[in-house]
Amino acid sequence: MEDAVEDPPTAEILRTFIVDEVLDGPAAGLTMETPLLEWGLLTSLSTIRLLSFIAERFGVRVPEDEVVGRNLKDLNSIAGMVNRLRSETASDGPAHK
Amino acid sequence: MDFAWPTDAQQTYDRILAELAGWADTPAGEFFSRTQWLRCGELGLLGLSVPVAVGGGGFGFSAAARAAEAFGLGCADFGLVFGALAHLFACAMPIVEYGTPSVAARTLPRLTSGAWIGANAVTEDAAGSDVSAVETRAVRDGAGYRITGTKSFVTNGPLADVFVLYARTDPALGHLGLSGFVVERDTPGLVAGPAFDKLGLRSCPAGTLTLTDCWVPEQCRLGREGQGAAIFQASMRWERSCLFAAYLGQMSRVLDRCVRHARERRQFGRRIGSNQAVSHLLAELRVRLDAAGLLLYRSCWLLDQGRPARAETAMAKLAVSEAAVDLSLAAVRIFGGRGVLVETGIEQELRNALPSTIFSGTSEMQLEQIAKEMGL
Repeated sequence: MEDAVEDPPTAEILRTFIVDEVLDGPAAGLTMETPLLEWGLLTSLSTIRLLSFIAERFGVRVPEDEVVGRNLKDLNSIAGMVNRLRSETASDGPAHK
Repeated sequence: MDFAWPTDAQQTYDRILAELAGWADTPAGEFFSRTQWLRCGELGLLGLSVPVAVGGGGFGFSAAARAAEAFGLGCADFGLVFGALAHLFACAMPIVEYGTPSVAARTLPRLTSGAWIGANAVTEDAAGSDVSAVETRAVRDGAGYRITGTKSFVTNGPLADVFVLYARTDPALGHLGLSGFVVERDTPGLVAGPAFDKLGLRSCPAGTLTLTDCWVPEQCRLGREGQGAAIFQASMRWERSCLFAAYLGQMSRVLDRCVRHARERRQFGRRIGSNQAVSHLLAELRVRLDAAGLLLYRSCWLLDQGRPARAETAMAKLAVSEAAVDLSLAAVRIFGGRGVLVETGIEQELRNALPSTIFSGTSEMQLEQIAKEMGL
């Protein structure tokens, strides 16, 4: 039996997604505080893709009233929101699609 | 899978067609009148998807689209059709879905009856497809906001009594820094500009809207602060499905005329429809029309199930609008010299189809949406 592989931290998974799928290029300069919305990196279309990725990868659906600037302005905020929703989902029971 | 329409949806379709048979088009060079608008209200066309409690028909996406298809089929005055459906889907529906109870109670009965004309103001000179480039600002001031900026291509704007408009409440939050507001025409600081001279949809006025330090109370904000982009996208799902159903009606009407003409018009001793160059073209157009219709009603069905249907709605909008342009251009050619005469009424169908590939998101933006949904 193989050892369980520990998931990378939420922020790292999200950073990889942003680099690969949103920036589609070098990640030079992308930090946890880079203002994704203000700089136009996270557009309406890429936000939809990010929310779909979060649902698929973390098993949590981001409610409409959580899709606000303070939750999506940078990687720190997004990771914080995902971790909070995951813990809320875990305390509520099985994840729902 | 059942392709039959529910009895009530079909009855509504038949009733709208029967009523429209007696309507006169807006005279050339004029905009639709308040009298025409009130008739639209009496026929239920201004509130198809608005809840029954505030005077609407309470229809879902599929039933509303079917009624809009009848409107487009029975009314060749497509500027009126467009103005009425833009009023419903881009002004009334955001209020239905996101308005405060007091604003909904004040505006919706007037919008559905036709007492008021509604408009949507999102586009700016520097913000067309790119909604995140909106520069109009809404700054907190006491129990409300002060809004300053200039909107463009405001459908119904020169005549509208109330506007749903989008302004930036937080410039640092990109597309999530937009908020939606309901602003009435007599608000101090609001000026609706004169109507543009347009290629198509000419009986429907569109113009600029300038707001200078326009104060609106907080209760006139739609949804939460920063929710504007989502509210706008929600209204686009209505437009891209239900409003475009009217173009299915327009296409059916034009195609019927083409078939009649191809059967009656004789050249070189035979009907032009007996030439494969014409008959196959018409057959191809029939396939385009039916395929576009199937895509559109699939999208409506998904939306009625509460599904996002982003790619499907983009496919429907793209297919309908591109087919509308191709079909009406083909109609001009099939009618030959008569096709370019204003009195024949075919060239206006082409002019009315052309804007459909631009408003509610250009064809290029629909392709982008579809590609993104495919993971590209």
